[in-house]
Amino acid sequence: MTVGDLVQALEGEVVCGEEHLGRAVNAFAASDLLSDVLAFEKQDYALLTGLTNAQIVRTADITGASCIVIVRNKQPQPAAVALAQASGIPIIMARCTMFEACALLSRLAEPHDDAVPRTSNPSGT
Amino acid sequence: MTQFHERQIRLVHELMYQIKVREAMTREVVTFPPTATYRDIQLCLKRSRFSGTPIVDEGHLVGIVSIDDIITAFDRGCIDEPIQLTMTRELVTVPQNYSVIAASNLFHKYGFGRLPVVSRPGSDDLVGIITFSDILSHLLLKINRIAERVEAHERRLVAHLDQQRDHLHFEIAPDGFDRAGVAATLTKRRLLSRGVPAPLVRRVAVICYEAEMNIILHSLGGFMDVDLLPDRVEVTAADEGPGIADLEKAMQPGFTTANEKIRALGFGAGMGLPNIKRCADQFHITSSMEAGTELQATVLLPSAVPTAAGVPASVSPSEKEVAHDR
Ligand SMILES: Nc1ncnc2c1ncn2[C@@H]1O[C@H](COP(=O)(O)OP(=O)(O)O)[C@@H](O)[C@H]1O
Ligand SMILES: [Mg+2]
Repeated sequence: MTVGDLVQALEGEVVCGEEHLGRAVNAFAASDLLSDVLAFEKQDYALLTGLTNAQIVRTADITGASCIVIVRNKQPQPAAVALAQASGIPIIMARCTMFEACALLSRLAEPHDDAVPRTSNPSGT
Repeated sequence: MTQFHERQIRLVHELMYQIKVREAMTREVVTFPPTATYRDIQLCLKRSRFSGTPIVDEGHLVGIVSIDDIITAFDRGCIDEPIQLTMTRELVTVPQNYSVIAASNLFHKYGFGRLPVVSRPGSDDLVGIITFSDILSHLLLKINRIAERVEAHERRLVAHLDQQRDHLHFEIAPDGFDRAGVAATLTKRRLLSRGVPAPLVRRVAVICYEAEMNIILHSLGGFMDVDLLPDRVEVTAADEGPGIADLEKAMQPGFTTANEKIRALGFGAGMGLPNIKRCADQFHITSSMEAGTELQATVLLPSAVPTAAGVPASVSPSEKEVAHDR
């Protein structure tokens, strides 16, 4: 999935970083605690958050995130936008709640779940 | 005179002794036989930039004719006569293995513009010709080469030092929440530009960010140093207090004294110190109410990946202690 795919799925608004919409998104982190995100091991991930300050961009930059998604249609603070432009990290505003965003994206991230029935419960009756 | 000038003059002087006539002389010499006329030579000198020419008789140097001699021949009306009739035969020569200072002394002593160069002292076997400007240009060439060598050496030295030790220092003010992460971001950029592998840079950057944040949120201000060494990156974060009352408690994941305001900004989850420790290969923290808190975190670079015994290949004894503190 690319950042562009994610924007489409969430019907999001790209605040900055349109030139990076082709970037890959391989994982997701959804949190309002940046310390939590800093302990996240993955790279090239989408950071979903309800925070709007410049520290979301610092965190994304330091951990190598592909983009930032701010949920509930909150405006990022001007300092955050400026920093995101300087560091080349797209910020996307999404109307949905964190929960809805996560649900939508988890379905998108595993498209085969609906098509291929799981062969679970092998010992079942 | 400054010391710098004195050194330069001494260098030139030394070079004048070192450079042999052989190195500075011109080897392609236009010569004439004694049977040539002054006019022959005059026409030749007019075409070339030379101001004199040696006279060679069957391989033996027998004289030298300069522009001066030609003017004298004009005056005397013997311009079309063979030179052997009037040419002076007392010849000053310089052997090729003499230093250019010897040649320069001869120029000075006799007031000549050029000297025929012979193979050995006392020989009349012409091997070249030397002028004062030959000496000067060779000297400049040599000085240039020395300068280039010195410059190249200095460049290598600087590059080496750069590689050996890269030092970043950040002053961190308390309550500067908006500036938090600046030091971490700058550190990240610098380490990446120095070729430190990205996953290791990320670990260092996270360490810096959390350490920076702690100084901002919990202390009266401090500083952070990042040292890039050949085998590791060292982060030192120190502040002026008030210190951590219970270090063991502070290290526990989730322990925090941060208030709601800080939590609303996304920090104060009590995850900072544990995460710093997790990201570091070596971690050491001390804190006292008097001296404040000092944290040291080291990330080892690939050249010093821990050996099978689990001890890094190249740590000094003092650092081993730190490593044991984990
Ligand atoms: N430099 C410091 N000076 C004083 N107290 C500190 C410092 N660093 C950490 N602490 C204390 O340790 C606690 C835990 O720190 P940390 O693990 O980074 O979590 P957090 O910063 O989210 O609270 C802090 O809440 C604070 O009480
Ligand atoms: Mg902290």
